[in-house]
Amino acid sequence: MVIDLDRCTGCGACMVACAVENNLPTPPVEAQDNRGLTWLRVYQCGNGRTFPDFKTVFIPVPCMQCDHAPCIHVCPVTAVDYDTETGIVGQIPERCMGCRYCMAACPYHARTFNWWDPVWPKGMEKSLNPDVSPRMRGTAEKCNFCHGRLHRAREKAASEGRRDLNPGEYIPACVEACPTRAIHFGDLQDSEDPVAKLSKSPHAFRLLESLRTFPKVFYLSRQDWVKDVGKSRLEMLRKDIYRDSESESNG
Amino acid sequence: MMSITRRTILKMFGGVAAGSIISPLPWKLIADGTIWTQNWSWMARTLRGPISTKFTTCTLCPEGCGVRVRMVGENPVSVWAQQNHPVSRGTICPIGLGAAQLRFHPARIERAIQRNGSGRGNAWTPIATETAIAETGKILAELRASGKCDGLAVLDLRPGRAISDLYTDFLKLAGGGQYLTIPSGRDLSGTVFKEMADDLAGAPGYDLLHSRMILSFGAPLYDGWTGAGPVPELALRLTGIRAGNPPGVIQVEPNQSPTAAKAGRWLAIKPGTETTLALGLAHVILDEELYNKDAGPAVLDLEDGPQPGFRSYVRHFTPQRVSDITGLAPQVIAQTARDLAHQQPSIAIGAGDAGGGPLGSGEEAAIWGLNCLLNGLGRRGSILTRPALPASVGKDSALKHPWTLEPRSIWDLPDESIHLLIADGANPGFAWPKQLLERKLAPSARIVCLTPFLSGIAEMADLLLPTPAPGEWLEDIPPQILAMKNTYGLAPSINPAPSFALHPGTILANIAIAAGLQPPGASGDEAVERRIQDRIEALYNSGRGGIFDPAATEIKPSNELRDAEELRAILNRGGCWIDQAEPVPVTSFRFFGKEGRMRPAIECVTNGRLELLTVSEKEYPLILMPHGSSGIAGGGAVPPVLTKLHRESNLRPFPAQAQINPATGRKLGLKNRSSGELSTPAGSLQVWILFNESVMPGVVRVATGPDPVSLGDLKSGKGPDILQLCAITERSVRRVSRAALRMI
Ligand code: SF4
Ligand code: SF4
Repeated sequence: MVIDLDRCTGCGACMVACAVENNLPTPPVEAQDNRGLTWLRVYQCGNGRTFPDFKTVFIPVPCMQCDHAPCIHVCPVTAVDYDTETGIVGQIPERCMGCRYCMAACPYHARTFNWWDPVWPKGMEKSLNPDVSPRMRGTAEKCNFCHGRLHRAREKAASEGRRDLNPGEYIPACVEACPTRAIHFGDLQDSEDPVAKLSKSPHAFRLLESLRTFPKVFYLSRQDWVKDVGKSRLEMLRKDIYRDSESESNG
Repeated sequence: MMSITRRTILKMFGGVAAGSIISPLPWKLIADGTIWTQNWSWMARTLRGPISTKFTTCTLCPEGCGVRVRMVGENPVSVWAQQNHPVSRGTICPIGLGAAQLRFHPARIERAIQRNGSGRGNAWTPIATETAIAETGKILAELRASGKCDGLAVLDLRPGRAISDLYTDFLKLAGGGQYLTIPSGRDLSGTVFKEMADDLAGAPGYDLLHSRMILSFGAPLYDGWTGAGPVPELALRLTGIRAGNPPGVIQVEPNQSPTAAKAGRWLAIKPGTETTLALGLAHVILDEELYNKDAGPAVLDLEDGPQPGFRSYVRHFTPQRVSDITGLAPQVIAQTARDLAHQQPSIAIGAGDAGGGPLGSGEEAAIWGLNCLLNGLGRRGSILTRPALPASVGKDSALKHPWTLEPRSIWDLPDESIHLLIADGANPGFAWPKQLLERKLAPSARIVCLTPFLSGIAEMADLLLPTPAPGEWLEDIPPQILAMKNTYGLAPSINPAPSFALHPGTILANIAIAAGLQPPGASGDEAVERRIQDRIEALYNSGRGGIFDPAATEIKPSNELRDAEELRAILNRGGCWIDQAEPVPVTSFRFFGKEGRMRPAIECVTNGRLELLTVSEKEYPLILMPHGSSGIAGGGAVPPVLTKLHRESNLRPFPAQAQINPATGRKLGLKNRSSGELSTPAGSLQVWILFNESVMPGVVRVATGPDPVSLGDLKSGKGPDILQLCAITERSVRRVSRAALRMI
């Protein structure tokens, strides 16, 4: 996956599409804000300057599907799974016992926890995606590049006698929903795939590259300060624009 | 014999602890324990059944995006964009993406209810539908008997639809009354244009997709302003994409909205100084002779006549003077004017933000004037005027009119003139001041709302009658105001309406019967069907336009269709009729409007001070600016999944959050993330103070929506209505008011 940050307008369509596709409930009223389940969160970050030199970038952060995924190594019950064919890091909720080690280990805050039973307003479970089971309270969960969609595409290909998927036959919900076409999806292993080419662009970078988790989500920006936020100053993702501290300048 | 010492006991506990770590037993117990406590019978289950896809049109806002609905049996489970749809071009907004949730919205009303007692409290009691209808009919009969039929009003929050015809037919049957709407910023912008363009036979629209440069006066281009349709193209003009090139989008706005953040150039002007900037840009264009007078319409009041012409008027708006008022550097003002003149075709757009209220007539007139100077009327990539829709001459006598019935603005009514208000429950998508509507009501007035949800205008009503939710009844989607081209789409019912929901047309017919009137012919769905059939025949008979069919790849000319029935069939399966008629030329134009009617509006703000800001600066040191996203700002029900944006991330603010620049906050002794009281001469509200670097110093920025109820959280109650604090004009709220903020 390659996300062009210069195109992202922070509309949030990807977050909503993700929640609809993957049956993410809304948290109960008494829950603190920002405690709900989100598999993809769009952060609004600043350049550290103040008005009118303040600049904004919106950074959509799904699970990075790390090649060296810390979450896999720390899980005591093997509830985190790596698919060697696709490179997708999966989560098996039935195995998860809720210790949240994976959440602590993930440097991208890509995992969220089911603090409550997943409950929808009365009747609304009739609008759930039939391809994705709701997870139970007490389990960690995260983006899996819309596994249900991958299965559907594979079944369709199989019914047509194909093993391989056609380009664009399987895309995650966020990719489909993004109105600015900021999110690109394809096969990073195939050097002819446009997405693999984009990931090699001089403007491409990965979040927190120095941690050597080797994410499969790349970002694009032609702005140096944006790259700086993404590569090394991810703590800004958490502070985002509502910062307590005095402005710090990073250029 | 071994004696048991303290050491032995410690050793034993140590051994047990060490053993437990390597034994699987405790882990197994923890894992099983979690599973036992995690699985309950009430856990949500997904539906099982045949999966299918339906193509249709979204009715949640007036835009009319083409959508693809995934169904399990008769239940819609998700809504996605329809590829290649001519209006939405393969995109939809976050509200549309959550639309499948709406029919289960917690604010949905499942029976008729009436307000307890008088006043606008929150307690409701059920009432039998027949009784509710009989009571409304009685009030109508009394109004008619006492000759006060003018006190009857029907408020249509989305005029121009087939159901709108039923509203006007009802008024005709009642023998009088007012057909009203609450005009949006776009409506007001269009009205001002009609004042300025002489004898215009069409409606103006922005050809955004073919323009090279867009100057937006606060319009949230990337945040639902025009639906999602043009967004993919507009995104090509975002920051850094064409490094070194002139910006594709210039955003004029005091605070850094998402659109301002992404625009190639952000002009952070002082609040309320838009007119001055537009006149300043006009000054540079005229002064440097960048105006191509041979290409546009005949301009009738550029030079002096009996009254000073526009050229002499803007002579005083030198970049230096405009700089003093707007806070922008003189070079930036001059450069922007030159860029706009050189990057032809360019467009200046107004119409305001969905939460902040419309721009005033003065601002709109100055912006349309700028478009005229930029050679922006009637050219591809600029302002185009679409012809009227083909007239619908129905078989029904009541229908012998073109289907562009113009409702009256509710703000133009005398105060206390409405005795019975029947309100349509469509979500207008923009915020409007409830206090202004209160003024129009007589002391004993009753509001009856035909609505699926207890939100938006329904919260002001005395009596609510449940109607079908979006997707549960047949609706049609006429062209959006300021759209570049006429379009027409249908949204057939996707799933059956529940038995408690009555069609608004049926409710009106029953009210008429209860008032002793005899409604002619069909009612409800059948009546809407007939109106729609008439419209489709009119479109077909005109021979105009093309038809987009989701099953085909190309737009087919309408005149290649067999008959109107084929057109109807394609529209029914999610197609869209799109006009191909040439734009209507604008022949002549007046900067000050017909008979100089816009002159006072333009002149009243040009000294850069809004009269409102004369409120004591010492007592109210801040400027309050409400804002909001399209579709969400108006208080209507939105899918609960939008909490992902409004509660579960910081992407979109909540109405209770007062955002303020950290420097201003510290100067006023405020603390970030603390409770505060926001007050204006109109009152005060409790808010949550949030420091935000993107807000202009001296400004406090508050979102108008979504309130918890519209998001489906009924327990938390409404939340603050920030517009109650804003100063109001005759037509809406002012986008800027003086305010004070303190910690509590
Ligand atoms: S981003 Fe986090 S959750 Fe995803 S694979 Fe990497 S460590 Fe695991
Ligand atoms: S949908 Fe696209 S533009 Fe919108 S927030 Fe997500 S990535 Fe950004």
